[in-house]
Amino acid sequence: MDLNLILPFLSTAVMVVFTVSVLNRWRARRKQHFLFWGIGLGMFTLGSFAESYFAIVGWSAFIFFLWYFFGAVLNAAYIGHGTLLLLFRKRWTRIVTVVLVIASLIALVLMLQVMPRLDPTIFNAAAPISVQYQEIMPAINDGATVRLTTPFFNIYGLITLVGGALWSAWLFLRKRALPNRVLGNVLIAAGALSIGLASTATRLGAGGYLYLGELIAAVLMYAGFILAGRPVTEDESAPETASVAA
Amino acid sequence: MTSPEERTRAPLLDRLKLRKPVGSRISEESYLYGRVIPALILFMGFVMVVLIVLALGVLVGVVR
Repeated sequence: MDLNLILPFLSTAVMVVFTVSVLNRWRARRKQHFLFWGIGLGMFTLGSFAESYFAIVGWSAFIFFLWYFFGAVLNAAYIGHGTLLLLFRKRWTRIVTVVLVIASLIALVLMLQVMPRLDPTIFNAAAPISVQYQEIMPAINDGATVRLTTPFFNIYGLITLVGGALWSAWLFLRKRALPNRVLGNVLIAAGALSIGLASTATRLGAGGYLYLGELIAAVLMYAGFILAGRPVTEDESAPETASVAA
Repeated sequence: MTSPEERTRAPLLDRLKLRKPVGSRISEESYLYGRVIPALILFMGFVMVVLIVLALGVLVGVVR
């Protein structure tokens, strides 16, 4: 059984269900944070799908575009931006939204510029794309400026998604209420850190852990989303329920 | 409350108050929310900061 095929396939399956769940909530409630979460999760799904495609079918420049642009560059920022919109309902978040969209368009132009310069002869279907992408793409100082954009988007996603989930968990913990929200946010943060660690390892040359990190992230974040979104019972809303040690 | 001497002799998990004290009347749920989850939150916050620093290092070229 080839893990390069199984892991991204499982990630894709989990993420499809997760994305549909979130977009259904957006359709029902029309809240912006659900929309951005859905967009970001959809990007994550495309990235996982691309990894499966590489393992099953082989090289495709378009699929590489999907993998890198949505999977590596944008998805963390969009998921994190949804968390920002959930936690802060102020006018300045609209400015951040505009900046994010403009930055995404700039990254798109840079990505399209590098596409003709990819070297598909390097591609090996038996190896994860995360291990070989740095050789397939030209170097940063050789035209692949889009690679400089990933730290910006990923740092933003890390702060908003992980920081936001941890902060939410802390707030509910202090209020001694809604224990499911506490656990749910802890799981979401753990999932986001999983993909953050795997992405960082990939960037530093250890790309063999990305697929596993993605699957762990998908499962933990979805579990956290379900747990945090469970209807509140009368017992759980009482402050005494989530009692802390004396 | 343990004395400074007792704290230096106690195993690490006990000193960090992560292990449930023997004979404690604290419920499992309280111990989870009172000790384990706060420790997890702090630890994950630390990991987040490390990742941000690494990403900044990649950006400025210090980390290759």
